[in-house]
Amino acid sequence: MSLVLLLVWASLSLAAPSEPPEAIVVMPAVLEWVDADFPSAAADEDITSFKVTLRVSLDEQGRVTDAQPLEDDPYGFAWEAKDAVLRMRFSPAETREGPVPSTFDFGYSFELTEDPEQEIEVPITLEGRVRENGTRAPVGGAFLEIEPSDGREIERTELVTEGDGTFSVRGLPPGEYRIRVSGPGHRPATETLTIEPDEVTEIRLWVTEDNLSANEITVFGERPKTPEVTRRTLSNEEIRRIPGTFGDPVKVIQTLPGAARSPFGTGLLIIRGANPQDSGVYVDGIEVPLIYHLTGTTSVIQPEFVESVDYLPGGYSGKFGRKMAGVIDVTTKDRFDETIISGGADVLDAQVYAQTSIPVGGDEDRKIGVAAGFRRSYIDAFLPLFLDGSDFAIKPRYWDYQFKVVAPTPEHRTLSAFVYGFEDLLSISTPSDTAQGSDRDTQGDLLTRYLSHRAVIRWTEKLGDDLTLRVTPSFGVDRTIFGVGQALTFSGGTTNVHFRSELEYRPHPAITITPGFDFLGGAWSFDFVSPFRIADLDNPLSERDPVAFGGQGTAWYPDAWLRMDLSPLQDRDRLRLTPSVRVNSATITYGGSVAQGAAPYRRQAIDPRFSGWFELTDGFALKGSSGLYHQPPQPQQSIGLGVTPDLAFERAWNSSIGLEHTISPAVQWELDLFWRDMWNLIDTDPNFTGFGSSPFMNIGFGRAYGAELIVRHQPVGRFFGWLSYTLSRSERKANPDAEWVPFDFDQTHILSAQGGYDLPYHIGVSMQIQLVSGNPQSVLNAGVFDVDGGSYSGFRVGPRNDSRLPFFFQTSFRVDRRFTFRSWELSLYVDLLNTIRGVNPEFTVYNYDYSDFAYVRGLPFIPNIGFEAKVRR
Amino acid sequence: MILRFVSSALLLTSCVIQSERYPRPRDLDPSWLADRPRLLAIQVEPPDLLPGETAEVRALFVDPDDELGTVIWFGCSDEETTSFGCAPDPSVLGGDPTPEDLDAAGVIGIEPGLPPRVTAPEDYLDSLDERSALRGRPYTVTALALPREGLEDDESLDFNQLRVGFKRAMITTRETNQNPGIVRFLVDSHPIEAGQTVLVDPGEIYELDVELAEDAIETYDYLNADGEWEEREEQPFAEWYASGGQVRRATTIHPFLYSRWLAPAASDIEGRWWVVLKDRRGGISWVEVPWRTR
Repeated sequence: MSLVLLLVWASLSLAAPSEPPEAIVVMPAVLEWVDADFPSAAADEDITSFKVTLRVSLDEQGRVTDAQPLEDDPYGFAWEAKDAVLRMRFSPAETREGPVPSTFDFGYSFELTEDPEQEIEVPITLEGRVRENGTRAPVGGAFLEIEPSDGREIERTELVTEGDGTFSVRGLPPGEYRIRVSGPGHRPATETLTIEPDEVTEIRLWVTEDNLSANEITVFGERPKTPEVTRRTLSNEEIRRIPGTFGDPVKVIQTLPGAARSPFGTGLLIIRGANPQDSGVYVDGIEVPLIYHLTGTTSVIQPEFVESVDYLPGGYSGKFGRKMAGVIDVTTKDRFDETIISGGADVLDAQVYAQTSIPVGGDEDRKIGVAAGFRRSYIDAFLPLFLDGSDFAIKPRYWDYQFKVVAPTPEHRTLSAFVYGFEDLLSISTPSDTAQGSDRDTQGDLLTRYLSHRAVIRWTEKLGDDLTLRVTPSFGVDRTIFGVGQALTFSGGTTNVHFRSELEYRPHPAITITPGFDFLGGAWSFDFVSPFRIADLDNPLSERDPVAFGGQGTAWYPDAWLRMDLSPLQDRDRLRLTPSVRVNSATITYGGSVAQGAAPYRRQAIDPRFSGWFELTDGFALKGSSGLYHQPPQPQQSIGLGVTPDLAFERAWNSSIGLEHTISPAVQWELDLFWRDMWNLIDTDPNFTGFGSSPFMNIGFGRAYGAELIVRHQPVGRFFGWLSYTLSRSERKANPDAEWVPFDFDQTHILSAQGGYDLPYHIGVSMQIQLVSGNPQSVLNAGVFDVDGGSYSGFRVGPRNDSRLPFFFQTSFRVDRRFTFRSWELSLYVDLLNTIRGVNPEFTVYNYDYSDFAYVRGLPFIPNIGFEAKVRR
Repeated sequence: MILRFVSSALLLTSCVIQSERYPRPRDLDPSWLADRPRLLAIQVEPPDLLPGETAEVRALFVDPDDELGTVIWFGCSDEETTSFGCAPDPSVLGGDPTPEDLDAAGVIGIEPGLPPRVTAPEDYLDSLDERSALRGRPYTVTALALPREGLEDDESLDFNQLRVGFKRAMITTRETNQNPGIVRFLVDSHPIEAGQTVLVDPGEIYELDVELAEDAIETYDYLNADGEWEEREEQPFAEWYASGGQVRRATTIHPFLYSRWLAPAASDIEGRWWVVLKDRRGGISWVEVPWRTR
């Protein structure tokens, strides 16, 4: 007697990992099968088939570390299956960080055949391959059932496809058959076929992925061992389906704890009560000036290029610097094995994307991966339709492009080049005979333009088992233009080089030492042209003396950092300590009429930082961080007028402590308490005297503290979602003796809940609810009429930000439907943004003399309808 | 089918909670609407003064229901001027101040009774170099109109009951500017005589314009920042007001000074137009015209 393997499948139910899970992008697969003995006691009882489900644990190499039958049986199937599985070999589960340990349920089926020797001699009569509709990916482990369709009494044949989706059947008598194919994560499909005498029938079978797609997490691995104690990452499928985010991974950041709501959804990053400019945005570790287009709806990188988005609201190591608050780091993909062409459009923009891999010299094992994308908005074409009758024409417009090449490299090396850029243009134009005010010098179109390009190379070299070098040089050009009419124009830009490198050295399993270098430098310049002197702005009778000045120079920020990752306990993953230090440096040289020989600006600062993570019990961990964060002056602040500004770096001491708990494989919660002390904040000098002095000085203080909670249901089964809540307070004061006043974007309560559910027929529904405290505001009580200028100046009685706008509330829905065909997919979606909402004041406007006010309300109901088509070859 | 149903259902649910709780920006009074007590303009005659010279000051107040009472005028140097004009001493508003107290507080007039007059201090330009003196130095006059009633209880004083405005008179070493001359008011290009009430059709749109005096737009010499004299021409603009109807363009710039006005839809409505012309150098003139719908 022997065995024929009939069924292998990995179920969707999961065992509890010991730490919060991370999205798996590659599922484990059987590499080496081991047959189990059929228990003789079962054979004696005339049992011919049996199935055992085991909970299998793999390590990072795919080795089976444990296999526990979930149910016992009186014949010994469970223990035979366990013995076999423990000797099998799997490919490991992989997250975007690489192979990780994993735990999953595994089905092992037994069937007793009478004479296997005879079976082998029977010729093959049917062979074929099972592929997935849309992706054309082979489906390994699919279960096939073959039975006659013409009523003949032939025993049903059952078998499982190989890892490459192939299968073969021996000895099928000629005739009509019905073949049913099913498998994990796929909907069953049935085909009919005819077996001819003395022929091998070939068939291709297609199955359709169930709603629980591979992109959605079907197996959990362990959390990557990162030094950041608060690091939040979402899966691609979760991101794409949150209404209101336009499927943009970066946009989703604003639904996570610690991120305040930005006005009109413009994407201002207000993280843990800090100014937008206090947080940094990076693509592959390289800083970019804008992460969102000016409409605030989408980020400047197409989602197809995004591998992951790391959101670090605080407590990060010395690897990142020059910022006091949070960090967003977008990591782009480095694998383009498949050939994909996709395109999509909605009411905002249209985009195309293509990727492929090209063999080098015909060698299929050495391929160059190439991907390119382009997106262009056309909202500027639609907006005039809604502004009919207005004298003004508002025309926002943007485009972006990306191009990436991944070189074929040996295993110990990766090398890629990424070129991307974008332009944002916002113009407000008027007919020539329509006044925008009383001043001819400011008549004409209002224009804002951002232009940015980056070229980035990423090179990773594994120099040994314990030594890895990562180098990321980049070259970039940024330009900004702001103009009013023909007369008032500001244009500026930088040509910059950003160079990052780090050497990761692991001398002992418990110690990893990583020194790094983070260099940012380049040339800056700006020109300013105005029909009047700045000093005359408050006097409408002043004669116009055109002013033109400019400046140029260089700015250098050669920073170095050192980080240690320590795992001092025997159980390496139980305690992780990460001390780090960063040395910040800034040197700025000046030239041009605005500087007139000012000496270079030079400052240095050192940031010691520390974070720790300790697993108290299984699935329950304590974490904390504390550290100093320095931030050089903003570009406009670091230019004195004929003098070198006497500005120190702005400083923040960030601390946090938190708990994280994995309740089940699908449900986790995290609680963080944070405190941020800020001082040396730069503000305008009230005693500024014009040329020969600096308009800015270090006079401000700030503090922000609060609690952040996230409860998350991973996309296990048909539901995913998370609820985040932030309770916080952020305050500022102008000098040590002043009273604390609320920060402009202080939002006491920030509640955001979003979730999605998969319905049958590939229909997904999702919903988002936001409830947020209104921003503080300084109410103006009355106005005084400046007769010469023809306008009122509003004034107020009371401290700054002494009142608050009403609560913000909105609900959005999304419905999507995916159609899967042989070689392509079509997704249709309707995003119903702001379906149910409150009044949602964004800011206050006053009547002409400040005796009355009204609220400018948030975005209206927007039905965003779109599609995306994806072809795979 | 399901998609259609779900979409329709959600579309139907689109709503704004408490949408009428707060006014919208479009509900705010526009700047051209002069249907309650307002200060529309202040004129200093002449607008430029030599040191020691005295000028008459008058104001254009709109007060349809006779709610305004005393108007107190203040004068102050540019160094004492804030973003809100002269900062008056609050004690002037109460008690029985003597003329010396008023003078010390910078009071230059109280209406009715003491018409405002501004006298440029003799030494006002002494601290300036010649070039700056030629450019001039502003001197501010501020009008504070008190309500006829409602000031008895200081605790309940609402600043919005006051009408406050200020204007700069230019003190220079060479007086050059004049207030711009307006010959007549035009409605659909028809000249309107002073005191004439214009009959308008309800709901109709009219083009309002002014005919300027020949010398209204002056050319003058200006010593620019490079120390060179250059000839410049004034660029006047007009501010349009109405007590009813709808002004379509509240501010217009020469040479497109005309505005458009939509008459009220009802018959027998009486009202007024005002146009305030400013030469951007301190010169101001205005015209007031009554109208009535047929």
